[in-house]
Amino acid sequence: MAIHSAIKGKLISVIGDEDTCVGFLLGGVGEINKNRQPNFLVVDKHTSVGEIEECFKRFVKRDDIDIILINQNIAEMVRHCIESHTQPIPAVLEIPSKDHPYDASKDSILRRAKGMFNPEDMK
Amino acid sequence: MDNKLSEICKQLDQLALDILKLCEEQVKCRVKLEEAMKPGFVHIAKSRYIMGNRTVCSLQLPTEDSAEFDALTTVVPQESITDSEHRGFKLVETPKGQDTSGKSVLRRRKEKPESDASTEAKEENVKTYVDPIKWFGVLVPQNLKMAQNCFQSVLPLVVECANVQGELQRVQMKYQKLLKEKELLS
Repeated sequence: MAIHSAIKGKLISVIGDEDTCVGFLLGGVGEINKNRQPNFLVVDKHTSVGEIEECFKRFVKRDDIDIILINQNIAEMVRHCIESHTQPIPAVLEIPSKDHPYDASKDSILRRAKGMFNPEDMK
Repeated sequence: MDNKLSEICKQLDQLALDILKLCEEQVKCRVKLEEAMKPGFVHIAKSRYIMGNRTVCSLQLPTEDSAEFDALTTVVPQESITDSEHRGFKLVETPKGQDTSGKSVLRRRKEKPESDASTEAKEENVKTYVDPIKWFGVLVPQNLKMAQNCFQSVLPLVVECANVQGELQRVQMKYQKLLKEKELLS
């Protein structure tokens, strides 16, 4: 217990649809910090791509966030931002949502791994 | 020279195999995550049916105007013993029964006897924890509690996914580095 309180843990942030955000926040990952900044973004039909992009960039810049969870269908909207993030921390995890099951062919990390194997290199 | 090249080729083969294994593990991990999240979504839908459409939605979630509170579950980096390189994450959960939301209100109500710099500094370090289920009301259906348990059990899987992904990225970087070395030699 004492060890737990001594360690300053980093946050898991969520960019997702209503149910994903409600679920993970119920799980206890949500936080509003001293600057009144939440570590989650609920994306609905009214949320613009610009807003998602801006929020993703803000989460990447924040040093108190170590994992960013983003629904795969939302990640598709800001694919260029996710592709440009190559650092291991924060780790960007594309997760399935209620309406969109996980599609491995869309995952940035797996696509990068697939692209590495060039038949010429295997000679 | 030839010996070094063949050694690099061997290492590349091994790393390529590792990448393929990690890719498979990554997909398995995500499928496991998806399976674990499904009952959570069902329980949220059931509680929405019981409580009403607008009672379990994003409107109940805290906003920028809400009082500040800390996350109940966080992650800490796991470092390898040999080097200080980052080796994944470890989940840290706040011990149960630490809901301090009521305490913070009482603290504000009470008059401060004397403003001491050290006590102020102490107060700043006090963490505020809120049980998220209370955002949705006091008498919530059992399904919402089940959804909460479900998503709490999903969090270790999220960390596992992040660790597999991190390992995959590390191996990829190593592979590309060796590939460049091989090009220089041949």
